[in-house]
This record gives sequence, structure tokens and C-alpha cells, in this order.
Amino acid sequence: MYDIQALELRAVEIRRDILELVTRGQGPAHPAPSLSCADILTALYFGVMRVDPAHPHWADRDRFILSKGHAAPALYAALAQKGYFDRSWYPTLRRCGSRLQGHPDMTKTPGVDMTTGSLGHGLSAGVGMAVGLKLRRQKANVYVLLGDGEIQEGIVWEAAMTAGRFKLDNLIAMVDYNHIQSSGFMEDIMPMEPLRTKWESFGFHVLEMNGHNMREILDTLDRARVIKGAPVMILAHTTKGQGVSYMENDPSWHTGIPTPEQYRQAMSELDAARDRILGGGAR
Amino acid sequence: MEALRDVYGRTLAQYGKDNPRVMVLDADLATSTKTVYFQQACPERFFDVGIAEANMAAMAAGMASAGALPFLNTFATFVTTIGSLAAKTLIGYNHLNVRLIGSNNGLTGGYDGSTHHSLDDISVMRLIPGMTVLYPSDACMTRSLTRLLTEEDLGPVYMSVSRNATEDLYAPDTQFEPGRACVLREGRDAAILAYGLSVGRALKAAQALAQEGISCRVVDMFSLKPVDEAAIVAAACETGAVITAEEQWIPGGLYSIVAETLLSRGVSTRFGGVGVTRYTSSGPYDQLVAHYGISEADIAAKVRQTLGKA
Repeated sequence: MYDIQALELRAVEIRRDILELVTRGQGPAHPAPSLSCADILTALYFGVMRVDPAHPHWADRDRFILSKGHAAPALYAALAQKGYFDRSWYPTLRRCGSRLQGHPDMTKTPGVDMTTGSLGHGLSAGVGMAVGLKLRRQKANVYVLLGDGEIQEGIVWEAAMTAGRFKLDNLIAMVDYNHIQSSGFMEDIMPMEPLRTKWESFGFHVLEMNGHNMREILDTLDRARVIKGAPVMILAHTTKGQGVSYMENDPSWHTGIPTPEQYRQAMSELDAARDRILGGGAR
Repeated sequence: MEALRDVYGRTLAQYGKDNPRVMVLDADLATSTKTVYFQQACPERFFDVGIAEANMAAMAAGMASAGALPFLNTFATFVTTIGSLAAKTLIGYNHLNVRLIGSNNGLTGGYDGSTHHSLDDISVMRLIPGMTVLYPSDACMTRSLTRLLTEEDLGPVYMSVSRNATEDLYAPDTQFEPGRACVLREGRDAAILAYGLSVGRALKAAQALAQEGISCRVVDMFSLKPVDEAAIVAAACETGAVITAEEQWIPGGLYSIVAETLLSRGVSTRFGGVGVTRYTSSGPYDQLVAHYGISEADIAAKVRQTLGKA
């Protein structure tokens, strides 16, 4: 039912827009964390989520919370391409008074369902949303994307405990598992393995996927949506900076502004990725 | 006399039951915060989230964003510490309709000691832009304000609730409006501005001072935010001396609010305040009130001192 090639092309466009945002906006944003989740956001906004850009507050819409709020450029790119606002807003990113704040802001940006940026709090907010929607008998799912470093926050496990306790099967959480946090590799700073058994022990139904394989992402999300009686955690195996060679697996690109030369290189790599998809070759 | 926490709990059950948007969260303290009455009346809209206050506060934000009117409940000292990140960053920043209820306020946690006393809830919560901050002083007011919170979309509201009972100050069915202080006693020599259980003590101090020929106005400043600036200015201009009385650490509380208001309006007055200045001890409530210098005798002494009659 999904047009995989069209979605793969869309993901390339979202990556191009991420580069546009982090290069044209003001001050250093977070390029590599944004690229890491670009395919997942593409699958959500252009594949599985029931949303209507003309009615961003539609009560029955599916919700998405970017709990790793520093990946805001990825969310802004998905929302703009979906039609929530115009791409001409991009150069205002992080500027004083902008509707595109440094971290997602539900009061300023159409389509943002929850303000985030203080790590750890997005899953709790998602648990509250899922409870609220269930009680009001709204058939909507709540998707929450967490960073892997983010789950070091204690509140994440309070939220996990609560989601399991109330069997919130309208809650689908995901970890963008690229193994790199702000100041280095997770395994050096604060390893969190074993992740699968951790989440299972809190009452989650755990699925895993390659977070850059569009077909696998869509299949996994479809499986997650029909699981009853338990919240779902999807461990998304990803590469930080995916799609731009010099950013991949380099912790220094957690934040930063590409130079004009780096911007051109990134765009030409993304053009090549687009050509590969159109040529039918493997990415 | 019914404890104010019971008045809160019963009123929440009575009026919250009729509003399907009302959802009540508690962190394993329902028999203390008295949300147990709502739990019994409306089990499907009651959520004990366990001993996890930070999660509870962020959950409340999520619920409100989905159209609910959540009341989150725990001891005041935990709302303003463990819950304060979500209060500031999610509830306040997004101006969500969440009710943050801090129980066992001030020293009313008595025997539990300093870890369970709340002497900074006003100063913490009033810093949050758009947050309404209420601190009822008797049963009638607790009932009226709780009902108001279940019925009106007021944006984020913090309400501080006493564990204790106190004498009635208001006639039944008196209506209260955030931002409008209540003058409980007229007087010309000084004005005592108070909130919570300090209001009853301020009235007793005023009665004692009247025997000495000192006439005191007593104003109930239950709405710390929005604050009734006109009532503060009138107190200073019409009596020439303002004394604040509060069960709170002095920096950031009503003493600070009155000083900010008068200085910004260019009003000068004789000025004093009683409040707590230290970490506190376990003990019976009345003894703690005397020990930490916020009793009716302390208020009267501060009035005399401020008027130069000590």
C-alpha cells in the first residue's frame, strides 16, 4: 500500500531541508541528530500518521512528540513538506521571535503537538496524552521518539512504568538508537544495554528495526499499531548523521553549522542518493 | 471543623464528578491529599501514578493538550521541586489548563519535619509567567476556589492547601475572584497583609492590638498571582504602615511581592514582615508556628515594632 520509492525520495528531500535549516538558520543547530531520524519522520508523516495540515488541532489526529527536541530541524522539514507551513520560514530558524524555535514549541509552530527540549519529559507527556485520548474515546495513536542518550533521564523510566501499568496500547515509543550522545559514544559515557529487556520488563511490547530502511520502518510501525494491551517500544537502529558522509558516526556533528563547502558536499551526496533511488539501485 | 485538605478533596469529588474533562492524578498520597474522595466517586478518571512526581507533572501537560482538565496532587514541597521542571517548561510555557495542587502546605506537615514542610511554594510558582497562584485561608474559600478550578479554563493554576482545619473567616457561599483581595477588618494605623492560616492569626493580632489602641486593617491576599496591587497600595497609603504575615520563607513570598509592588509604584511606607527564615524542625503545628516566629504574638510584635511602639 505504501509507495516505497516515493517515501525514500521524500526522505532525501527532508534531509536536504535539514541541511538547508541548519545552514541558513541562526546559530548552531543539531544536524546529525536530525539526519538520524529523518527516515522515521518521513514514514510517520507521509506514511502512517492520520493528520491534516489544514487542521493542525483536529481532535482525532495522531500525535507525534519529538522527545529528543534538539532534532527540531527534522521535524520542521517534515511539517513544512507536509504542508503545515511554508519552507520560506526556514531561514528564521533559531532567530529571535521566530516561529521555528531552537526546540519544538507547540504554541508557535503549526503541527507541533508538544513542546520539548528538556530531555526525558516527552514520554511522560505522551503517556498523559495517551491516557487523555483513551478516556475521551478518541481513536488516535501517540508516537514518541526518544534519543538513546535521553533515556538516561530517570523520568523516562517513570513514564515507562506508568505506560506499562495502564497498558497504553495507543502509545508507540521509539528510541533513535545511534549510540552517540552529545559529548561522545554512549558506551563510553553511560551504556544503557540491555535495552530490549529493560523495556520489556517495564511492560512494553518491544520491536526492532533498521531505522533507515523505509520498508522495514513502515512494516514495523504497522505491526506496532495493531498490538493490543501493551504500549510498544521500537528500537530503531540508526546512524547518527545518516546520509551525509562526513557527519556519519562523528560525535562532533551533534551541533554545528556546515561551511559553504560542507553544505555543497552534503547536497551533492544527497543528489547522488536521489539518483540511486530513481535508478532503482540499492542505497 | 473540617481540615482544609478534606474540604478540597470533597469539593473536587463533588464538582469534578460532573465535568468529564476533570482527571485527577496523585503520587501515592491520595489519603493525605484527599483525592481519595474523587477516586471513590470517579475511579475511571483517577490515576495513581506511583511515587513519580516529575512524570505526573509532565503527564498532566500531555492530558491537558488532549483536552482534559487535569488536577495533579502531592505535597506542596514536591510539586515545587520535583514537579517544577514540567510546571515551568511544559505547563507554564504552553499555558496549559493544569491544576497543580500542593497539599500539606507551610508547616502543616508538622511532625514530618523539614523535608515535608513547604516554605517556598509561593516564590517558586509565582515566577512562572501566566501561572495563577492561590492560597486559601479557610474552608469556605477552599470550597469556592476548588469549585472554580473544576469549572473554568483559567490556564495553569497552582493552589496551596493546608493539612489543618481553621476557624471560619467567611460566610458560606462567599465568592472569591483571583486578583481581588478581601479586607476582613478595617483599621487606620497599620495594615496586616496575610494569606493561608496566617490570616486567622493576623485577625487575632489585630484584636489584641485594638486593646492597646492600635487599629489594624487585615487583608486576605489569598491570590498571590495575580495580586491585588490596588489593595496593597491602598493599605500603604491609607494606613501608612504595612506588615506582611506568611507561613513561608520570607524571600520571594508576600513580603517580596508587597515590596516590589510599592517600590514600582513609588509608594513609601513603614514596612515589616513575619515569615520563616530557617530550616524547620519536626513538631506539633502550633508549637512550630510559635518557634519559628509567625504566631499571632509575633505578628502583633512586628506591628508594634514597625510603628515604633515596641
